[in-house]
Amino acid sequence: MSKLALSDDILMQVDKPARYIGNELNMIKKNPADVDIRFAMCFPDVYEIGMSHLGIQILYEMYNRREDVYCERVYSPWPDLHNIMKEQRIPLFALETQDPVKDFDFVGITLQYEMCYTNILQILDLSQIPIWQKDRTDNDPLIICGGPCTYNPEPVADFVDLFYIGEGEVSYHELFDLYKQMKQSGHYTRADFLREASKVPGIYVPSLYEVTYKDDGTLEEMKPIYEDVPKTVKRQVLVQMDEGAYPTKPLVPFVRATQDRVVLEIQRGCIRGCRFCQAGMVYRPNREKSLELLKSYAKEMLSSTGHEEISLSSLSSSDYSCLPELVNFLIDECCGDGVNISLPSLRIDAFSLDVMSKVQDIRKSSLTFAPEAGSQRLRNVINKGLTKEDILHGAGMAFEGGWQKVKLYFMLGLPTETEEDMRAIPELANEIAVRYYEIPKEQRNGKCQITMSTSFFVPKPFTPFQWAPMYEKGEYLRRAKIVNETMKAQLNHKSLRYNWHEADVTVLEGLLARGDRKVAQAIYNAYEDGCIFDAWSDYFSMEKWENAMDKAGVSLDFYAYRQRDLDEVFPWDFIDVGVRKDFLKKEWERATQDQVVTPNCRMQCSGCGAAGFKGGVCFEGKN
Amino acid sequence: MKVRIKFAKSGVMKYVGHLDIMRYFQKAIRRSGLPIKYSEGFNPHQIMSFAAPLGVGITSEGEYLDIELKEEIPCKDILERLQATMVEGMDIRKVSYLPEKAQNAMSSLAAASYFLTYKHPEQFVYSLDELQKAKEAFYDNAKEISVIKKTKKGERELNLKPLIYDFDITKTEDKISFYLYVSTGSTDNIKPEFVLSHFFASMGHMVEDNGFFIHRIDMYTRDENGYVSLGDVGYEK
Repeated sequence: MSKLALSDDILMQVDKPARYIGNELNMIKKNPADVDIRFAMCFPDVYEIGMSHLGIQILYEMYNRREDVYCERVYSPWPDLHNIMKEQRIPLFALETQDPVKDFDFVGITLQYEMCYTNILQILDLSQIPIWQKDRTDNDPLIICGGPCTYNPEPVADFVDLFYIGEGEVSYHELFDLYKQMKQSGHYTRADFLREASKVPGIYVPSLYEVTYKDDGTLEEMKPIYEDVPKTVKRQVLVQMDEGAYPTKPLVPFVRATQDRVVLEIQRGCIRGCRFCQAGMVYRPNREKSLELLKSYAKEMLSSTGHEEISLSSLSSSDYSCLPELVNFLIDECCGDGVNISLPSLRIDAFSLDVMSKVQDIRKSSLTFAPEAGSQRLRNVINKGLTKEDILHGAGMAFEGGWQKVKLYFMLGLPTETEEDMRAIPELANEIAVRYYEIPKEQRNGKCQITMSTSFFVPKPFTPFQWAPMYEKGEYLRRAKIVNETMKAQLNHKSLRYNWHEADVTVLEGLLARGDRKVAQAIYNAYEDGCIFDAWSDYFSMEKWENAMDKAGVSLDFYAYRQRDLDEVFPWDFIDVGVRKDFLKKEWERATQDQVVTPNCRMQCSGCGAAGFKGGVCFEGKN
Repeated sequence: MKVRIKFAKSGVMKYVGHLDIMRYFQKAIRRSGLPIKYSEGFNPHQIMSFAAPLGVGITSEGEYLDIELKEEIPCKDILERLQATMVEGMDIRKVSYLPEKAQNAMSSLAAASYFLTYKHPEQFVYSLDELQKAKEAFYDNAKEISVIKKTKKGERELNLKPLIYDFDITKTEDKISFYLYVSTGSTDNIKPEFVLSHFFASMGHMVEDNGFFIHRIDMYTRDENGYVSLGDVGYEK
């Protein structure tokens, strides 16, 4: 029997013990004595969430293809086990070998959302690794972070030794080779390695930069403390998507994961340029995988996992140029024998409705639109191309095809939003309902159900809205109330439903998203006071966070509610993400002053800067 | 064509619960490419049924699931194709075809046998001899073993005596183990740890939850000749 880090008594006490045993199908087994580098890849949330993440599976595959590296996995122990491990001082372990993480060479932590920041501290604390980067010694593992939140790494910079900015496929080999070479030379020190690593493209070593602040608290300057450390860190991009490693034998967990299906990544980046969307900016340029490769992956992955569902992953699947061919292939060649296709939110048109009617039960499934804003004016401000006519036309076709349920997603608190824009949300939903009831009674199936959901807008780094202020909790709720009241006054209000997100978490997310190094102390205080799993409403405590911020002298006024000056130096300005700051500035002005849309990348290049990566949509048809 | 698959669950796999084991087999069968039958309807599912759930923390060498195949495949091939896609700790032990009229494993289940050992031997200071004597009083010579069983509807009084078919205590290499052969199934489902906790209670010793390592040896159905292993009902093809 394989060894386990936890005793039988503990495993029998905790919820879902299978989260902690490893041994999943397609797990990589290696003898740690045979490798030079032991890497613990961590997703700082519960197992079922972490196991659903594609990025980790890609890196797990890529690292383990190297004979000299053994990459294992770590997830956040659920609070029941967390308490036991703290109490009994059991060190956090990796699932594959069940060995303590503190004995590894690297601990890689993916930063997928801001609300997992206290869980990073949990991972370090349970691993018995010093939480602050300055307290670590040559014997501690190197903590390296990647993922979307590294586009502003500063709030967690003091906890992390290195950040990898960009797509992991590109520079990890160079980093591993450097580490191995320094270790084998016998002269390894943490400081020497970090200094050398800072020269590897995409690697950011926060301890090698000095930050000074102005009297008003904003950044004065951020500069390297040594001359040979680069001033800017360039985001790494896999230009030829077909060349990247892909997990054709992905891990299949025993516990049902959130994504219990084959995930086929069809492209990266997005041509649309919605002005609130960070992913739409920081993953430019849009790059597609080839149809033939995707077809072979689909077949191989279904047979290597036995999953009963396959799903496409991308920011906007409708923009994938071979989508009809791909979807028809999946329906013809992979469906049947109990295998389903789960379609991502496609743009609603004749093609998608036809496909959906083949793969879903129309009466149970719903159509999804993400207009993001209720009025056309505000949709222009956010650069969301979708028009009311598109929505009504799509919904009309769907209703005639037998659908009855529609889901609509919006944001409240967008820049320039007025009461008129808020009221436009339920008014749009009502018009959709009207369109439904235009169908003769005998041809429809009773009532329709239009569900509106609003989240509160959070300004993110590297978006045209990075200068925008947020609102206080009360103001968000006032806006939600206006939507709710307006809904009740609609003719078809009985067919409408409305739900909105919690405001507390949103405001905090905003603070963490655009924070600087001073925010680290607040995160530390929150963790010390017991905050973990902040993304889970059962565990989130705004009161604890407020105390943590007070004690650290970190205020929402400064980080969240403040309108940033156009000339302000941002904590994340040192990253060269591809898209230039002057382009974002121009977009911010087009949004708030001219209120005009910018064409998508396929219609016309707007010169954002991403063409510098020399690939993808920027060069489509120009070979 | 009804096929019965006997499998063993050991090692770390004992921490994987029954629902997850069901999903595990659904995927394993798809990976094996065996021509399993699906139900009709918009969301077809595999025709598959398990004899009895195995609790979390329990190992077994006698688990069963029944499936239906669309075409006949030699038992040996089925076994090999499934075994090739198992994880460590899951092993396919036997495959057989069932007579068309055979009841499925779940409804024909009548008994199960177990081995139990102490998780914390230091808490049990009894010699084999003391245990044997206590067992004579508790089981061998008892006319009735009256216990209270908690059910969904509340509590009911139950006589355990006729539901325990065999009870034995042995010692090998300083290790005491308990063998229990008990009624199992939809009517009188007796858990072995339930019997043991009453046995120790008869000695004045209250056992805490999860006090034993439990290993299921086999499951049985009953026919005119007595109890038959679920694995011996069918025939090989």
